[in-house]
Amino acid sequence: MQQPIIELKNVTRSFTRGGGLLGGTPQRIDVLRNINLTIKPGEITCLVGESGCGKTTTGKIIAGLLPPSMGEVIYQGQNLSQLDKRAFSSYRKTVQLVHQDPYAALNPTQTIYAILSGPMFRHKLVKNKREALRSVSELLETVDLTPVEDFIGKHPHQLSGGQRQRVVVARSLILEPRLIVADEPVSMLDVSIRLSVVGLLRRLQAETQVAFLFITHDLAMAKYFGTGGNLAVMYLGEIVEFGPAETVIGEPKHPYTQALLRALPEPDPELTRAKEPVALRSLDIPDLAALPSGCTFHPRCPNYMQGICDGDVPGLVSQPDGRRVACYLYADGRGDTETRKDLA
Amino acid sequence: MNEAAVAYETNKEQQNVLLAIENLNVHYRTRRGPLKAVRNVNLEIRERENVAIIGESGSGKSTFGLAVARLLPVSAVAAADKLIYTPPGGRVLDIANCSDEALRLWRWKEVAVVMQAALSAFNPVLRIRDQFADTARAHGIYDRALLEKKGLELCELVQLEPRRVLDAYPHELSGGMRQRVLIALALLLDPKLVILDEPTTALDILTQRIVIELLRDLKTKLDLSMVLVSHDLSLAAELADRVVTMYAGEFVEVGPVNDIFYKPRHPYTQGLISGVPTIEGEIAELASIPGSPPDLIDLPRGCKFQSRCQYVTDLCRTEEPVMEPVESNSTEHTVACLRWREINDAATHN
Repeated sequence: MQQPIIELKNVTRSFTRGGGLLGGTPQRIDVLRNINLTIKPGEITCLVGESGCGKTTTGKIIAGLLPPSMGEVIYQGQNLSQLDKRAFSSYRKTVQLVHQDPYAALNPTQTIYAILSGPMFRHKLVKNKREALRSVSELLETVDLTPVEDFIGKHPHQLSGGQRQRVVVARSLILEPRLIVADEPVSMLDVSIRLSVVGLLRRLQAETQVAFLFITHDLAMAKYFGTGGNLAVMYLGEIVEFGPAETVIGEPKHPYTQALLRALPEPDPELTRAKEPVALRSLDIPDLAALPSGCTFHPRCPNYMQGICDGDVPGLVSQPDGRRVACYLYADGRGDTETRKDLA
Repeated sequence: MNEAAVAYETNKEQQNVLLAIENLNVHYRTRRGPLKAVRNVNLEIRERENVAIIGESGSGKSTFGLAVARLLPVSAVAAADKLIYTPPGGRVLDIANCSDEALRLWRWKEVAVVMQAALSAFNPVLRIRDQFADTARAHGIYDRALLEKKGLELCELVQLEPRRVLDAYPHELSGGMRQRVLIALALLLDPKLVILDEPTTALDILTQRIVIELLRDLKTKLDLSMVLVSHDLSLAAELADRVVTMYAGEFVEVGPVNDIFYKPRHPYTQGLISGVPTIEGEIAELASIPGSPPDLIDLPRGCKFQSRCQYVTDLCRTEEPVMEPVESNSTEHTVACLRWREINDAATHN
């Protein structure tokens, strides 16, 4: 079996709220709780969930921008916090990030050439300007910014949103990473060009076998990008369902995943008007500072079982079809030991 | 065909025109010259009808929505041959040529607007209750008891707890609640037409569903007409009776919702629809539109979509297409493309 690039083991991340200049008692908020996630070489993993569920925080922890409060991040078998300088530098090159906002991710005072050649000189991938020019040109061709002469001397503000995001993607490829964390890479782009950028990412994935963590709130986009890979559904800081993207989207098991898919408006009048949304028991999303006991979805869940769902937190339990679900509907009796193990 | 579409098909002949728009043009004054945001637009909005305007950002959707309510900023210059509002059983109003005071009273009472970005649409230092009162006073309603009753009714209508919501400040409410309060506020004076600019954008999926069901419900309960401005095709698919595709400031296709989604005739509409992935559909059929929209200050001759169109010919670069009916016996579905017949013949033969 291949060694994973990154493994999250029981990762919890907390922030404090209040207690600053304005006074008040500081409150601890666990935005991520007991996240276990393994990313293997060449794999696609999609992370979906609504705003505030911890998708971006997970991405930041994997990209090394935030340390976990508890738990471990394992990079090629070693704990990330204990890496020496050289190993850490290798990790930095291995994992690259594509940000959501292509308008803020590029230095407005630099030309596209400067933006892309900077890291090449910094990491001594090129010796002189001639080599840099050739490498930058190749990169721009890879991300379909052709003819190259039209783009290489321009500044970011002269490009459209889609073109800028292509530059961001090109920049993430410079160091030949093995994992790209793409945090909502197309949500700021216009509908008409989203698909072409996601198509580009898919093509790069197929060509270079780079692993992807694709973070999105758009389930249809996750299906489009993630087919053949895994999909993790997050709710209030926990992964509630994990499995092959087609299976999770085709036959959702967790009541939250079911609610999302049945609520999702689709660009097809007859299909979308025939949808029957799940009747949730509450419309309000609980406050992260005052989480419900047991399963955090229980106050809204239509399948709520009193005395069970509000008791212990359900852990992810493997199902016969290979996916994992954190819900007592599927853990009854059989999966209890595993539930405990996941929680430990 | 679903129920809503059937009901629509049988009723459309009897529907009266609520707002007639003829040859509407809007441009913004910029240093480089006039930016033509809306050009030569014609539309009749009927009673009890939802019209969705779809298109990319910068296509003129929002400008069109604002122009209809005559709420454009001072940098905009609008002109229309005709902008006539005909309420059922009420007085006809020529919106393009009436006094500012008549216009002020007409807005909200007859046509209400739900703006994009729900937080900035509120006064942050007023409780929701006072935002309601503010609007009522501007239209000459001072009766507190009446207002209280109306507030409670509206909260119930949008499924919000009145006690919790009316005494809250805007920042204390979640995004979905704010959007619903804003819809309630728009309905305060029983308007006939509501213009909603991106009503579900930036909301979570479960909240989007609540807002969509609410809007569907309100339309039947209150006999409303709605103009839905959105880049989200799903919203149009959910709620629209008719769909308008806008490109570079022009209407390029107008038609009943099922015609637009299942039999789009304009290459741009076709591109928009095949560029959005669905949960149920096949992924192989997807493709997005190459290129980007033209500069609205320096528009090309001929068809404005020419630089991105796979069917472009020399004629498209010189001759400007006009709206023509897709079927000879009906003007319901119209398209502005020189080659729509050939394109669709080719598509059916493949």
